[in-house]
Amino acid sequence: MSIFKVKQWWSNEKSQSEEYEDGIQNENCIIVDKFNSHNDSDLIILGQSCILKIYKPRVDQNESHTILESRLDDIVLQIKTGKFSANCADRQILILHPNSYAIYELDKQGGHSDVGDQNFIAPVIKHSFTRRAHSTTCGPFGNSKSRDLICIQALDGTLSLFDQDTFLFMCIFNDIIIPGPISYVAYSDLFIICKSTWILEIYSYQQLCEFSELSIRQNKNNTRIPQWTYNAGEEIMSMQVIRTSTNFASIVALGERHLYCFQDNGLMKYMIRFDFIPICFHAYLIGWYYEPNSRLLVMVASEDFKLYLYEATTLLWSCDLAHKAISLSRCFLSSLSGGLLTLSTNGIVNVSYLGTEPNLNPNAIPINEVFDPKQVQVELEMVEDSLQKVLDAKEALNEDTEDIIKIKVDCGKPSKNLALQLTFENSFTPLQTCSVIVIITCEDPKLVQSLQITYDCIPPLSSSETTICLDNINGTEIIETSVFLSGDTDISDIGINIKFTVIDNMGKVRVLSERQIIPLNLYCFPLEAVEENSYQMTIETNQRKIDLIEIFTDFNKEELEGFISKDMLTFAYRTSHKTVTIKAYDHMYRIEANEVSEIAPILDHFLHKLEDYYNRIGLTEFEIKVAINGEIIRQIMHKFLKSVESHAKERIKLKELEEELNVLQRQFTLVQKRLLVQYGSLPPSDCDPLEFLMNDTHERIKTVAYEIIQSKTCVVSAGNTLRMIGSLIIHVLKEAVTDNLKVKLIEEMLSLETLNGHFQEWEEAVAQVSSYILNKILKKSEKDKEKLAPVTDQDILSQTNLKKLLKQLRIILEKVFFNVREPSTGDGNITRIEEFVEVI
Amino acid sequence: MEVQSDYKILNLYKTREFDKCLKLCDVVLQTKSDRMIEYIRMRAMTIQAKIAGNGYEEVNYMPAQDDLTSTTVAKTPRQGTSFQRAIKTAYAEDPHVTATLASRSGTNTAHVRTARTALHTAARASRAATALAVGSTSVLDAPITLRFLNKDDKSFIPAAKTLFEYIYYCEGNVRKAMEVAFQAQKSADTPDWWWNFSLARCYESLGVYRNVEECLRKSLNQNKHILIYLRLIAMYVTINQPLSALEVCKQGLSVFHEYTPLLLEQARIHEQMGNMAVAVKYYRMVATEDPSNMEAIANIAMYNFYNDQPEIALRYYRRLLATTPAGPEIYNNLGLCCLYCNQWDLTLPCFRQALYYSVNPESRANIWFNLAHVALSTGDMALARRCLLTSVAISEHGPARRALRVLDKRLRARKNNTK
Repeated sequence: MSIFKVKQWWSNEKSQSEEYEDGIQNENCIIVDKFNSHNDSDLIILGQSCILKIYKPRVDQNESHTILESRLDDIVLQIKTGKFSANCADRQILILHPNSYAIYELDKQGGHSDVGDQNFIAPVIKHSFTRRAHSTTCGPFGNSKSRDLICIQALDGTLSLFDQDTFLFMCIFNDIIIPGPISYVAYSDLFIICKSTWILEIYSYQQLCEFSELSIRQNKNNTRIPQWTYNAGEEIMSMQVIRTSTNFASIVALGERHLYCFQDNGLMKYMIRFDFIPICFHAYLIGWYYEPNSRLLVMVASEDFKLYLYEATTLLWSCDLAHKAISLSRCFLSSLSGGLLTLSTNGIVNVSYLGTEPNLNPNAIPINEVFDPKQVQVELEMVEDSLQKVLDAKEALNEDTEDIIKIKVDCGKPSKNLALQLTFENSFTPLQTCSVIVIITCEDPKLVQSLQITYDCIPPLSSSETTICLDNINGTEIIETSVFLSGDTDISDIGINIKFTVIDNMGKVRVLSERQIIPLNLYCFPLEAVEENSYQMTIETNQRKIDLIEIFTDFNKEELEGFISKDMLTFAYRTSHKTVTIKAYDHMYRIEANEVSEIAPILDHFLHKLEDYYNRIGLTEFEIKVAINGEIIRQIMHKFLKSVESHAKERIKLKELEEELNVLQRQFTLVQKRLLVQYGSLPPSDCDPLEFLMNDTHERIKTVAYEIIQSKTCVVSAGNTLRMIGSLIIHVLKEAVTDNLKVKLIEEMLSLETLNGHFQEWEEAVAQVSSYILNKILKKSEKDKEKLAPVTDQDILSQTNLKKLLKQLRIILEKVFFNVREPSTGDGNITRIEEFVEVI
Repeated sequence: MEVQSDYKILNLYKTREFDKCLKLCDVVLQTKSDRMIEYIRMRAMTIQAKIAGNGYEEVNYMPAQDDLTSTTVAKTPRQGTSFQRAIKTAYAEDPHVTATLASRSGTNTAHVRTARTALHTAARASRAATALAVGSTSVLDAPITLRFLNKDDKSFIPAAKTLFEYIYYCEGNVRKAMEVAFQAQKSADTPDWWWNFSLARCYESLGVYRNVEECLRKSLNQNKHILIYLRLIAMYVTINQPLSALEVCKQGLSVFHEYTPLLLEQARIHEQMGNMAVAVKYYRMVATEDPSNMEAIANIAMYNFYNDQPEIALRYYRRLLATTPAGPEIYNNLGLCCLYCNQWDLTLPCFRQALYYSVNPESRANIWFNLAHVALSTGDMALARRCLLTSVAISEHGPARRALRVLDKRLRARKNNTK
């Protein structure tokens, strides 16, 4: 978030080898200090694995910056400087190895004039120990005047204290799992230890002596009361102590997301919350601590290569670092005072300074391409012209889709084998499968953008695919799907509707529709003739009868010959095994069945086939008339109303179940809510009764859901019966009633297509229409209107309303059927036209 | 001399290179079991999960959508005490000025925030879901250490916080995390604010806001940590009690003077309540404390723009442009500012840049809508109409369509007059 970048001044990148291993560099193995032998500028001491390097950065790029490079016996964990022996003049270097520490002195030897001075480190003290070390801190513990003592934290958190090469004592802490940073406050002789409980504990040196394992007073563990503690609530990453005033030192600690600053007496000075991930920090004082207006600044390096500079909580500066810094400090070099020293993960040391010269919009690439307004204007006009053309040619574009696409639909032979090739949901095997083949020919495939085919089957018929989308069409597309019976109800519609949605290259959408009759043998098989049947329907033609075998072409002759006798043929449905018999007489055919509903599909199919036959032989002059007498109409009507009633009843049952499910569901949520509250209570209370209740409710929900599924199939099958009889009625109506408008009206009123697998709310739809027809078209008296008007405050499925609906339907049907006999007058015709307008 | 792997792991962990650290941990733990490495591994995983699950973001402004929380919220709040009241600000009365500016002025911060909060709520929901799972928790999914660690073990207390965070963030098992918290509270001799704070986190993910408040208040008594204040504010905002949230802000500010996160929260709450003038006051304070804060600057700029000071807004936006990655919103806003400052030469280039950067259709449509505005102010009706048409074509959005209709009507009227 800054416009600034640090300016690099010096780097050891060139002298660094390309390869490096992950994790060998830590933030403690770099230090900046001034030595007597090089008193003109700070030296940078860097430990890398087991190599010690000392740099003295200079302005001149050609001169060597490395004044020493030495291989040590063991890896370097941390480097410290200080006065570790009493009688030394210069700063000494303490190097911590995993199992030892060593103290060196840096020395310079005047050499030959052209080689220059030679630097070397002279070992002073070397001491080894057994516990593997993690980090060290040193200082004049216990107000030792002459020299610094050494405190080493082992990997298990144990503190061992040493004086030169003498072991003093050891403190064991058992609440340190991951060793954290430790620091020593020289001003007040305090140790700061970061525990794994994420608490900073501050002990005085005196206390640590007492905790020591060798101490005479064995009052361990229970009386370890620190001077003060701070509960940071997060892991402390690193820590620094800096003397900021004559009366106190400041402790700066960096956590995962916060920076804390305390006085050494435990008083918190401030806390900064970062919205980035900090990696390391460095606190420094501008001015001297005894000056009243000295400023404590903190710089923080973030994970996304940024450097932030804070004074208290105010952000003073932010800039980009070019790399990830794992250690920050300041260095005072001969030609750059107050440089910023960073160490990156791969051991590269950079000295840089906070430069200004903002780099404005570093990431915005402006568009500079030059454009000619005249040319743009010309282009624009061209586009507008073509647009206008399109708009003008609107009418001409309406070509017929038929020209673009030709569709042919065919049905294959039903077979059982086919079923084996397809896999079905719920692993059910259909009785018979029949393939439906759609052949689309397109003369110019470019005219069509995409095509979608939708198969609309009424249950129990189902199709293996419901929609097929074709994104591009080649010359001819052949699409094969299969149709089969699913479920155990009888068929109610003998064909399937296939819709083709064509989007042409102009983006226009057109819908074409095709209907394909399903082969009879998919749902029927021939049977021994059954002669006695309770219901019959007669079909009269003006032609002589033809052989029934000729008509039912879906079966082979051989298949039917065994069963045909005396021009009589019986079919049974594959699903319910109910039979329908067809008898052929001189000029007529008769379809008989034991139940009215069974007649409809066969009748439909028969009529279709008959027409088909005459079409085939090229005979145009034939007529079909279904002879009806009042009796059968009454019976059909009766059956129809009965089926409406039973459908409604099934639906009521379903509705009750659904309501029950609703209640159970609410109960379930409530129990869940209570249970949540129980979980949340302090301490957690007994949840078992509620859990039992929840499980029980769950079980009941499952049962009800199962029942609902059962009930749904019942509703669908009742709907099927309703549909069958309904279509029969319409057939009969078409034959019996000459008035096309009325037939159409009734057909629309019954709107049987709406009854399909998912939608069963047929009664509601029909109730609306029927009352309208009754009131407006059939012109009932006011009294009747009132009598038949549905009660508005109740559901259509309620007892009274259902009764009224049935009555309405009966009246309408009766009116239509039994008024036809009376010849309609001219007046009637006129009024009917008016009514038609009204209906529209 | 090879650096030993445990030192390597420690170094990688301290320098925040968790991916490498975890890889190495896995290698090492295959051959030997080391308590420290195991805990470092847990910590590294936790921190990664925490960053991914937005665990460091204390404040999220997603309202409580969960219907299970209906127990906590009063349904009919008093006037002015809640966010639900629709408050009309200046720009609502000024419909001809574009809507883009208002909604986009938060630019990237806002975007990032919403994306993050979505993630956060997802994480929260999943945590709650696991908490709801009935039945005894399977022992197998516990980390090895937890399985063998008894609560009477003396290393339980130092390990408890690490374990809690691991269970809460990595395993997402709120119930088990709470058990750890209760046990730790019981066995520790001194009260620890962190446990109350963590319990509040658990309760929040369970959606039990009353307990959240109780726990946070308790931990606030023990330690005045900024995290607690932020959580408390977030909690009040979530349950739609901005006044209480503001009160907490005030308390927090009395402890941490002029503290940016608190000021920012205060500003956001005021902004949501519709007191833009007050909000801007706080945004200004944030900007002086932390000049790199995008959100504050963007909001100040927006305020100035709607306050009829486009030239000042322009300066703020240019500063934002210098410090943030460039995007379509900022150029769009710059363009509008230029337009109102009468800097004609810069207006169109700004919008060109905006179009160049825009990726989603909504912002593109908005930019075209604004361009129509530019065209109108130059009097070029035909150009304005074209811009509006483009806007509508790119994305159907209310103002463009309405403007187009008005423009058409006016053009027709003019034609009739000339006839």
